[in-house]
Amino acid sequence: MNLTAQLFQLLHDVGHLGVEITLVSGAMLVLVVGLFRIPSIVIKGVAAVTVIVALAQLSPSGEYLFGDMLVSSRLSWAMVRICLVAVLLVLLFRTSAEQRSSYYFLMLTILTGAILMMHARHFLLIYLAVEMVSYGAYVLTNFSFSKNGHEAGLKYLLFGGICSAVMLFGISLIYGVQGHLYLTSAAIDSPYEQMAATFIFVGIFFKISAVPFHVWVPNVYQSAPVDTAAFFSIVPKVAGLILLSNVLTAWNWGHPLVLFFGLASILVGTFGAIGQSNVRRLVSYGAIAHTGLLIPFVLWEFSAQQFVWYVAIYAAMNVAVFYALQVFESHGMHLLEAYAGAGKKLVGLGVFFTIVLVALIGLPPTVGFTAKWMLFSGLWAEYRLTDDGWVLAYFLTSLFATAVAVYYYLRPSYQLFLVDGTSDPAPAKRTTLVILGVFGLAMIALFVFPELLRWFY
Amino acid sequence: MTNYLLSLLIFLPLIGAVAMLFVPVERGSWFKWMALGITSAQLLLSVILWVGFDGQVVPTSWENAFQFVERVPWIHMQMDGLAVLKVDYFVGVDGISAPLVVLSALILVIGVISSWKLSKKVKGYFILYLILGSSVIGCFVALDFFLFYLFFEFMLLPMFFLIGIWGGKRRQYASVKFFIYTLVGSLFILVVMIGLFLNVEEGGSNTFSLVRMMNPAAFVSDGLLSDGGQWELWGLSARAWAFWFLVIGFLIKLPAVPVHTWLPDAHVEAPTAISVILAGLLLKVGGYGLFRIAFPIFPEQAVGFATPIAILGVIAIIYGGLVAMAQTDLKRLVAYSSVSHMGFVLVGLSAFTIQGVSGGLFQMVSHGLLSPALFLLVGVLYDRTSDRQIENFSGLAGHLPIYTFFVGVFFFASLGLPGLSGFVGELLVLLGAFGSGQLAQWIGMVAVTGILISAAYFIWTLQRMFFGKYWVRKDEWQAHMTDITPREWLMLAPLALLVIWLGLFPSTMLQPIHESMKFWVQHFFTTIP
Repeated sequence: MNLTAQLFQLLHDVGHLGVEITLVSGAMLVLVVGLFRIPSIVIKGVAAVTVIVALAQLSPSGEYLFGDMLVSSRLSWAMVRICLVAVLLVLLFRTSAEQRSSYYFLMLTILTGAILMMHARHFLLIYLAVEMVSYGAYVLTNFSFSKNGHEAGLKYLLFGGICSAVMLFGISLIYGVQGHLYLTSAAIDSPYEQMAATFIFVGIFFKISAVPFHVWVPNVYQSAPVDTAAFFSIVPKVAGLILLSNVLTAWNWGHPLVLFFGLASILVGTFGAIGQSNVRRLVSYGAIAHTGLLIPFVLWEFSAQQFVWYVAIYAAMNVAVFYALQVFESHGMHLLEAYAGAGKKLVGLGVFFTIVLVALIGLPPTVGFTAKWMLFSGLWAEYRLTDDGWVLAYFLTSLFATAVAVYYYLRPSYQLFLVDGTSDPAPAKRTTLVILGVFGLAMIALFVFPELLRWFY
Repeated sequence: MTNYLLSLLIFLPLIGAVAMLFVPVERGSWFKWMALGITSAQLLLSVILWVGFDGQVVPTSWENAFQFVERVPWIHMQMDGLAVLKVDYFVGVDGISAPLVVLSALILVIGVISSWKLSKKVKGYFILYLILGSSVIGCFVALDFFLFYLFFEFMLLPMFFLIGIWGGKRRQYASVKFFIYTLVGSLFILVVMIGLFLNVEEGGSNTFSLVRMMNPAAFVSDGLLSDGGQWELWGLSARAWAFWFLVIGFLIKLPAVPVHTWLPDAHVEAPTAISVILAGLLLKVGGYGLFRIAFPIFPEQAVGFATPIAILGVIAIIYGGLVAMAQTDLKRLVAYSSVSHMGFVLVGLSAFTIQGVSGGLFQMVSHGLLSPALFLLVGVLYDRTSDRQIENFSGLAGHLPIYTFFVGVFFFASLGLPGLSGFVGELLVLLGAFGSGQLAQWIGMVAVTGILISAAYFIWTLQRMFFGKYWVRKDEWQAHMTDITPREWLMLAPLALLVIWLGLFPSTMLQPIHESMKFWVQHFFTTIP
């Protein structure tokens, strides 16, 4: 190809980066707007408009850009759409005074990094995207400006630094073996390659918070601002999952490894959640267990649509539960014991919170059940097809985790309504009640009308 | 022409509950009147259903075994790949469900009357109560497995809160225990439901329709749960595993020994009205699940495992009876007697004779009248003294004659005195068990001793509490020891009349359900190759 043709190709390819360009320019704009003394709601508005514009630009078609460096598919664009909508919902959260322009700048850059992470097929780009997400996340964790926040941020930074170093080492080994950095179909045969691939998986597991690279999760989810925690539980995780799926498809290697860590995530998350006294830590262990429940979708022959719907439901439930946590925290309730007896005063909030928790468990009549249904029926069908004992083990473990989840996810409701306590919270604000009510009812509405999810895929 | 009677029965309480949301909390007494009005209307509708139910119709296939059928597509989720979800709103009644619907409506009215004096958080209580009523009826009429499961699960949450908020001292413990037990059971059911959905087809697509699932021809040819599947684990076929999973799920609800331990705790802590619902209706859902789902969908397993299931029933009869005898708390005694009586249902079902299964169903209805009555009687005493220890009372007969009369009727009905409803159920079950080709003779013989045991603990209790010299433990109770109030009359008299009526004229119930029963039994011997 001659130079002119290459340049035209480049120009053409840049034209397909609309979403990314919008997000980056929006991030810049947020920074610039933040220089002026204007109310933070305006900054938030700019961020929201940016996300909406990005959503409008999004066209779900598969493409190969920049000489196969970026490969997008309908699946990845659907995931991007979920992330964008989730961020839009996260912007509904109440913001604290500290959350000025730099906060939204970081959020939008992380979002851009996440999109690149899903599309990148070149290890240099993959590494850069992962780091782009990570660096923003390290800073965002600190945005509560509390001692706990700094502790969690530092832990996150150190742990993340090591994981990304390991991943980088793996990438360098791959380069040594392959002679190039493209993520293409390759046989991973020699122990050398297997070691390299394992190292790369470490970096990805860190991003999707799979066991044993999950230790940062409870700390970060507990100490970061609530909206940050909600954001973390969705965007980096979804991006990591898609990256994992890309790597697995390209190499067709590592399934037992992923399966093992997926099972471990379910078990560790489930048992870790049982003894928690802090509600946010409880939810964060639930999120670790949920990572394990998401892994079958990249591991086995689930359809793309099932994957997208499951992730959309997961995102919706997480946004809802973190919003509820924010509302209760605004009433000064952080620990489970502080919830005791508060249901008398906060009936509406308590009922909607319970609906969201029931969805997280996966019981009808909530959309959480629809998600569990797709997972279980898919695993069952896979088991029928392959007769693989590990699929059955995964099926039974997920089922077991669901049973245990009833115990820990209902503990807040149990405290709210069944335990007599002395807590005397202020009455709920009307707007928060309405927003939480919409989230709660959405859980039921999506169960009855699952076809609404077709918008995503 | 579609008849919307069943939908009305299901959704009337739900509409009532929604309406209550908009009534301000301050109007305390409105709620009980609304609840009474709604449940009475429901009772009326259920009587219309019973009258309209045509017992002469001879079913020839499951497709025409049901009456008052309504079927509309509901949740249809069509996805790429294998996952689909195709749920129909599909309801109907046959001879098995019709009596249970009438029973439910009646017990729901009585439950409202018995909660009349409630003063704590009345609004929440009656809203949850009506939701519970709606899901119980829904369970009995659902013909779509998913719909059934939905109602089955949906009973949990209201019950959890009703015990947990309005219960006694250890209410938290009891409600959580109840919840976990039942939920574990329903997970077993869920697994089988998924398996069945993927294996059963109707018109080219998978279906949850119970009617289709009962037809062996509806299974896909190479499915895991189809006949002749090669899959085995520890010597049991996939169908056998699925059958036992369902049985375990429903036995927890029934409850059968050894998964019964949630029951006494739940009963002791629950307020009287909720005990009434729990014993009268929720336990029946377990039995109904075996009747409607576990047995007919897996007929060859049901017949093949008849003996172990009957033995489980016998164990429940004997063990429940013996434990009841050892109780010092009157309410725990009644709770354990429930375990014992529900054991007869298992024996009757596994006999696979018309007498046996009719007896099992009759026993469910009879127990559905008796155990609520017994819990109400305990409640009468508890309302007056806040105590229900057997040893704290003596010679009540002389002081409370009408109360003692009701106690006598219901105790004797429970222990199987001829002329009262309990006798008919147990007799039919035993006749069925002895005449059954599936069960060994000794099973019937051991079950008979259960009647002796129940006679022993009921009569012993009668002697300890009601005969002899009048005495109560504390002097301050004396002032409250008054006889039955008109409100209590209103609850106990209809139950007593029905118990006597069904004891004298059991054919009132047995005649209309006969054809359904016959068809049910036939199903097992026509579908097994």
